[in-house]
Amino acid sequence: MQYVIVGGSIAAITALNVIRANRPDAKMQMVADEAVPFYYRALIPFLLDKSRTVDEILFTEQPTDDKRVKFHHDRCVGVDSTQKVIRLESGNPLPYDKLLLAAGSSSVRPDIPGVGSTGVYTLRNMDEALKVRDALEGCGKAVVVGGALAGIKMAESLQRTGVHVTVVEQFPRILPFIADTETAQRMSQKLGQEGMAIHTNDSAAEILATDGKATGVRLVSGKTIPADLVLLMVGVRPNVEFLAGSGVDTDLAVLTDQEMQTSVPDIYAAGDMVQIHDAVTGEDVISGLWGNAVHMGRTAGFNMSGIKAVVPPFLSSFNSTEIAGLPIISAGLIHPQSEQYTVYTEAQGENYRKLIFDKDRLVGMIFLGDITKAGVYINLIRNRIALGERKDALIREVMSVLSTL
Amino acid sequence: MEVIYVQADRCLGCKTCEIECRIAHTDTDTENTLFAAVSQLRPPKRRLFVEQGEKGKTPVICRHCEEAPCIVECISGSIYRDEQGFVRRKKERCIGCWSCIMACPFGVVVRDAEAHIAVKCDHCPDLDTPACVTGCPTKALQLVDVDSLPQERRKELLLKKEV
Repeated sequence: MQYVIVGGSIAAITALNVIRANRPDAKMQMVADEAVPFYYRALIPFLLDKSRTVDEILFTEQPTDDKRVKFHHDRCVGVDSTQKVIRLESGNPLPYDKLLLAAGSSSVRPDIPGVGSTGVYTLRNMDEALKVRDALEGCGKAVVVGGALAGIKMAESLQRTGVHVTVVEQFPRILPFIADTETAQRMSQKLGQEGMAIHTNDSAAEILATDGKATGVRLVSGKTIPADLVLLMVGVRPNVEFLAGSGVDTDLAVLTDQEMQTSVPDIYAAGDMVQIHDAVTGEDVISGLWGNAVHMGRTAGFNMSGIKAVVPPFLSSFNSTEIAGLPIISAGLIHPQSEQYTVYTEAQGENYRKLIFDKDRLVGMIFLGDITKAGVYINLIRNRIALGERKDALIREVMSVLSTL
Repeated sequence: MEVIYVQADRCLGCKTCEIECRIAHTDTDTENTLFAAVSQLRPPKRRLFVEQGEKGKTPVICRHCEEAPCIVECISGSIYRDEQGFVRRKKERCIGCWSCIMACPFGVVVRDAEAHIAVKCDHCPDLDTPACVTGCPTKALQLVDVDSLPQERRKELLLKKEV
């Protein structure tokens, strides 16, 4: 059985490990377009400030340690599902019996004047990270365009290297997808105390440059911020272009069933290039979350090995991080827009907690500061547990923690 | 495989298990004792928790889940399953992102804010029997073989019915 996996990050590797374990007869080929694949993407910020080396962010167990796995440093440019071959940029066709699409997503590069200047980077993969790390030598000021989670993590890392950082976010608050207004304000304040400048309700209109080298950013509001380095962290889009003409159905991203099979038999998909259905909000979205990619990769791997498996209920908002020394965990519906939902909040010093209910079901939560037992409550959200009479006890339990701190 | 088996009806809530856990996880060059534990600049965190259940106190402890959500969500390669099948954490790989705390439906992974790492039960790999089990005076915590457990449970139920 010939397995071909397009992609080199967690969805691809998880699927590969499942196939390796379940199909001793498997011949596996991986295609990834990064020179150094198989690293933990979330650790990229630690490369910038040199707190970790490249070796220290690689997967401890590399897929190619298994001699049955052949790795192609190449790019998949087309899928012919009738002939069951994929086309590679290098020109060689690669035949498959079962194909996994886990090519992830790429940074969006906003189409603004000056975006091609030296010193302007998108930052999502290792190659880009190493370039930015080199560019940080002698860099005094940086602008990070995009104040969502990835942007803020990179901004913090730049700041740790001694660079003065300004963050620009088009939403009225930073961390728009993981924080509510209160949490975002508290985070902004903490980051401000650490010397970070934050401009919300604003975005980059133009990269200013002299002799082709970036010197600053002009914002839509008219403000000008000087910078030696500009990071564009305004979002990602799924890598689905190479599927044109393949017969694989896409909408926002690749469509799959619960077994992660696409509209074409023997072609599966997993990770950031897949559209998922959020169990709580009911919306179709692209997940972009690590854990969801693991679940998708695992489910695809089992089904590709001939063992039936389905994915668990997905949450598209399900995040945990620490920013400016303050932990935050949030999940589910954190921006309730209708009166159908009841919201409870409690604050104590740096700690803040918010619970959002739909009748007796917990549908969203934010824990800031004290994050004890967050997973217990997220599990109630994910599985849409009706709490009945236990709802009040739960609210007391969650909120009373703060008064005993 | 031997696992920690919790019998909640035997728990008196004395928290000896919590103390033994902290002693066992004291980072010291000398013998691990209560004195050594409390003398630490940063006393060790407990990795199991005596909590109020519906019927009384009960120790809540890592299940070392078969499909462990903490391993799934770990974004840095820190949480892994060891050769014995227990879910452990590599200290040097932990970045303090708290994804494991977000993932654990039992709430038994905790944050060590000073060390900036997540802390969880490691099943005391260097001991024959985990410290909490050794310490439990009422045998509410026992080390049992997974395969023999159903048999013991049946016996227990039969004895209960006779009363």
